[in-house]
Amino acid sequence: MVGIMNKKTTTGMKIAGKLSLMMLSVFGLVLGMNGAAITADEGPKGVMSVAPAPLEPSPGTYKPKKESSAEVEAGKGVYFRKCVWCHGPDGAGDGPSAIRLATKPRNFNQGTFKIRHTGSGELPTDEDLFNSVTHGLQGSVMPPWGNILSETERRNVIGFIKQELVKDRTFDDPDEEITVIDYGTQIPSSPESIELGRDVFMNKAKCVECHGVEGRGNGNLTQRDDWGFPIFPANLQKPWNLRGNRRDPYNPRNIFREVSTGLNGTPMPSFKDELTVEERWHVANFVISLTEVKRPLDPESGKPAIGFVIKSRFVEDGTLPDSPTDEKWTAVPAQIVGMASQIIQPPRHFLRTVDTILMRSLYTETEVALLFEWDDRTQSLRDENKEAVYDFKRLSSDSFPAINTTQYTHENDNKLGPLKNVNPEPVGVYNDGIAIQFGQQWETIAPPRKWYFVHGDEKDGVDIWKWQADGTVEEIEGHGIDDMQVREDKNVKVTYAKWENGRWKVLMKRSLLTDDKEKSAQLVSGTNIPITFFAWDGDAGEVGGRMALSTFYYLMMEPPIPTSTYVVPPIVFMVLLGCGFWARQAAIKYKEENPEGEED
Amino acid sequence: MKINHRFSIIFPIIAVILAIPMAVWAGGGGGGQFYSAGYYALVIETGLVIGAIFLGWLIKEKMGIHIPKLIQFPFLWAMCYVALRVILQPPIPFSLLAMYMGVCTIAILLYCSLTVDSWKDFSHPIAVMLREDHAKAKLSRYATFLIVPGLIAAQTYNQMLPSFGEPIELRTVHPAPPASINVHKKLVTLQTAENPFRIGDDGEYLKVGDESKYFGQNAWVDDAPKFLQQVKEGGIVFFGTAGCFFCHGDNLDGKGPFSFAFNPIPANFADPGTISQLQETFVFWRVAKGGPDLSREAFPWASAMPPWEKHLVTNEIWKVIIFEYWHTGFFPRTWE
Repeated sequence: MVGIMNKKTTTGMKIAGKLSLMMLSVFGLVLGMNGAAITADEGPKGVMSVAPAPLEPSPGTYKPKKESSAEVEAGKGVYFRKCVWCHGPDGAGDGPSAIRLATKPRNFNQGTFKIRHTGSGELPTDEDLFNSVTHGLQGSVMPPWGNILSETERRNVIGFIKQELVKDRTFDDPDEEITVIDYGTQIPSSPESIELGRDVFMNKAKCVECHGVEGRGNGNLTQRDDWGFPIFPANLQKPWNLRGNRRDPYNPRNIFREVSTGLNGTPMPSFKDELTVEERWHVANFVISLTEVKRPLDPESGKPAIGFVIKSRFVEDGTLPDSPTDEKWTAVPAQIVGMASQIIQPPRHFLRTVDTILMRSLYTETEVALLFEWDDRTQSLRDENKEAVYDFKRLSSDSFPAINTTQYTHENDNKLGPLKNVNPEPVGVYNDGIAIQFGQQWETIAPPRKWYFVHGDEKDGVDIWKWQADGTVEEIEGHGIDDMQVREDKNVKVTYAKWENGRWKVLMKRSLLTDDKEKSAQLVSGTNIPITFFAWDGDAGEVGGRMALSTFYYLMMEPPIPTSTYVVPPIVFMVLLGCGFWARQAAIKYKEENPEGEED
Repeated sequence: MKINHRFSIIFPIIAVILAIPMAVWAGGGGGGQFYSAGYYALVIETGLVIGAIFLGWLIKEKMGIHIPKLIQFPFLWAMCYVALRVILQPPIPFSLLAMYMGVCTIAILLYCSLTVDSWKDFSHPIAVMLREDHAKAKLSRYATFLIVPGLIAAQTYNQMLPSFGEPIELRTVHPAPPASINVHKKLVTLQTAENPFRIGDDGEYLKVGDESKYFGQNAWVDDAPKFLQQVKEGGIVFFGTAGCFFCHGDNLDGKGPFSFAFNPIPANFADPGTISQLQETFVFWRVAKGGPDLSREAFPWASAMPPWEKHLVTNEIWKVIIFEYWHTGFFPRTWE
């Protein structure tokens, strides 16, 4: 029902689109036009674009618009309704939300903007600011305001930011040079171009040093931005999380732009002078090629669309693979599981680093195998004395006090006051981990009813299969986040677990049925089995209830196709053919009996 | 002028095609709002049908081309299908579509068999195809005998191939609230409780509707009216203390950064179907008790809404409610 409600708003546009298509096809038919004659302008690689193409300023010297005081005043109204909550009353990026965010809201005061068309260190163009407001900054909490604020409102609020909130520089200062980059001639992606781009990435520009060998952003993890906050290289295999993707993440134009301009205020430099236009296109093509599967995007989130049924395929020869490289895995497409932070119960956690897990599953008559793959910049093993890479350091800088707010809450005493620490601080580095959870007695609980998705409840226990980076494999009985018992059983096996180039691959197996029918989940094929996912990044202070989690998915072990599926259709064909011949005989006979009469 | 019987039978079909979206429209297909896009669709749809009839008339009467009923049949059928499947919005379920198409099929068959002549027009080609032995009939016979059973067999195969989709589980979004709840050791009776922070400039309770003068106003100025001071504090709870925006979004539209991972998705307060349909006390119950306190039909086991009484004090909950209504510009429902 919720879904329907949300979809309604876009129905109007859909109708208009469908109607115009209808009209086109009707006229196409009438006029006998060739379908190929109608070619829609899809833009560059716009196959999976979910947004109209962003505005691009023309190359060369740029002069920003000077908004009138009326426009600035109108923009101020918009700002204090919508923007102030993150960017703060003075535009210093210190609104109420800032304490909980790791990518801090932009501090406008210095005039330092990441996503631009202009030279390194230069102010942005009006189009750049407009695009950022319109399309949002993916991977951060800045949403696309294009569907919410009118074009005028967006232009006005930009005027207010430029004239009132950027304090250290002025947009009409004659000394401010603003030069828009030139895209040159786009080089279409090809194996040759990608190969040339790889060479630039690895050797000439040394992108690899920060972004890692496979581009998962697992290179240099000790850098800070201009405001003193820790900053981590982008994971280029998740282009939908790149700030400047303009909701068109598979478009190399975005990469070309960012390589050319650099991201002001961050360690990402401009390569405009180091690399030729051609080299920048090659490297852009290479970066886009890192995402092997260009998944269709959910227009609401701008992230890959999620299906809530994880399909497990039957293995005919009865043996499950022991490693992720086995050919058998190619039979099942990897499915995405979306992960959020556990913000529901203490200890609340806001900054999970695992936002998606790639899932594959195979099964035999007796056993199921689950292959988890997820990106994690760090391989973390429990070490109390080691300094963690992320965690609440991400929230702080010298000028922004180091309070670990994710740990703090009121103590239910119904008194306002300073936030109190009710949970132990994370100390050092914890184990990375992954877990799935079934209802212990799921088959006896009539759908749609289930057990509470955060580790079960008092009444209905859950069976959790958990793996940790130190090699521990546990089967845990959960009756809520505060009531977890590791059971003695050793049915779950992890046959492969390896971290490489910023990605964990863990292969988990268990027999479908176990001896303990009460405490451990019994799995059967052909039914949607509710399943929930959990992940821990030990370098982000994640341990116990501080974790990433999903809501309910379903594991469907698809039964092998029954033989009748192949037998019945040919029989249907033969019977119908027989009917046809019978009809022919009948028609001939009718004509013979009524040689003069009309048929029928 | 004699109306060609061919067209007379089309009129009921048009009526059927038009009546359905009309009914959907009148029945509040747009969530109680004026469904303007549906209106345009209707106008264009009517135009298309009239255009099709005119085209038929042109071809028959003016161009003198006779189109056998057998050819008209699939064309009319396809027209009905397109109208019901594509033009009709919001989309109707398959079972309904099958029913309507059944009616359309009967109507078109009736039209084809209205007179002896027209039935002959319809059936003669079939009889020739079945019976005759000249090359053209043979070719069409072989093709028909292969294609028709072949397609039906393929469809059978498709039907028999097991498919595994997500189970359809219908969830009630706004279940009936309890009469009273206990929050922080205090009993709150939902029928009578009032938001203590719904206050006007004089500090007295502000009647629902009177807060509209504060909508869109700046709550961050130093001398902000009392009501706007509550709005600002509520906003600080929403964005800071509680972090509601992680799920419910910066625009309160349920599109926060975690929303993509949740099923059911977070509530969209900017939608006229949520908080504007509810009393403030209902919202208070939802915030204070969260997902686990929902009744069975609202799937308490799957909701990621925290029981906020564990993280916020009562006053913060009331203030965040003030903020939500102010930000979206909606009024809470009242008991009157």
